[in-house]
Amino acid sequence: MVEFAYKPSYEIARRLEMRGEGSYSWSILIKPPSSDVAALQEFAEELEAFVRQKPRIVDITGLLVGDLREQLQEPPGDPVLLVGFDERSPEFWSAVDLNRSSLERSGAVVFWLSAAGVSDLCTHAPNLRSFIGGSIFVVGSTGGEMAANERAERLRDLSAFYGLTNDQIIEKAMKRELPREPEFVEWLVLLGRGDLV
Amino acid sequence: MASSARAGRFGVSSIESARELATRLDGLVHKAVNDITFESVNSFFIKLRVYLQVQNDRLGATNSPFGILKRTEDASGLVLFNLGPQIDKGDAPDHFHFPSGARLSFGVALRRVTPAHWCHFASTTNLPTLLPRRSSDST
Repeated sequence: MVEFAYKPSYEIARRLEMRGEGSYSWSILIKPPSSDVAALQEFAEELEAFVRQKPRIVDITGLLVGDLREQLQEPPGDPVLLVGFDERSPEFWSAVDLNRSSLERSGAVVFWLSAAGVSDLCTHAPNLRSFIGGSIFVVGSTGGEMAANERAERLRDLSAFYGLTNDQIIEKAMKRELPREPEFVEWLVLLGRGDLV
Repeated sequence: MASSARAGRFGVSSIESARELATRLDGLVHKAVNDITFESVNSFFIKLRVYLQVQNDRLGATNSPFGILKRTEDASGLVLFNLGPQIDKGDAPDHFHFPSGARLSFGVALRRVTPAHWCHFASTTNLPTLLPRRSSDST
């Protein structure tokens, strides 16, 4: 199978925002194998924050192509995340492919698929695949987690600035002798002692 | 600063009353901060990062909020969001840089409950030093 670009949901949402309203854009996002629901929720939040419009999550499980068309066209301008493709038959994908023109809409359409779902789409809906073009991404994590070395560096900076060791800070916090300054809150959290705040 | 203190308005007539007003204001700010809640810490993080990106784009700046806004948490449920160094030792790549030359760093702590509670906030903004123009600079 072709390797698709791995992108954090932040970047994918930003791309969709940059295409603007009425972009008629279609994309495929390959969902992570685990934490599917959480990843979908995160992506929806990222997209909403960027486009300032709550995306509609449409579960197409059990829907026929006519139902799908109705869901996409009423209304036609909002961003839609389509989920529930995992168990669909080759005939369903072929029907979507044949009816692709009637599914076109001004708002962004995002197919939330598993790797197997992408394979089915590519095999049984080649025209749809062609329409989507290069807008196929593997959804990555939200990112932004502070790395261990970054935590260590911030602790070193705090210790050097205040002339106190980590143990002294914990001792002062236990005695309720720490000023209510934000730096000390950070210090305690970095030491895993937010319970002393 | 001196001005007549009228009922219902902040006015400063002496150092003592200035201190008193500052203490009152501090109390009001603390209360306001304690009243701030968010749907979830994750939602706060996403919205803050997108806000920074939108402001960055609006300003025509070149920051990457995705790279410079960091979060970490401990077992007690306190979540820390940091952008830039907590102690300013000069310009750093993880500051939020403004086209004017100013740089911003801040930290926010939220408690992971539902809804998430704002615990602490600190920010530092460094404004650019305006140096007198040297004669050799002129063209």
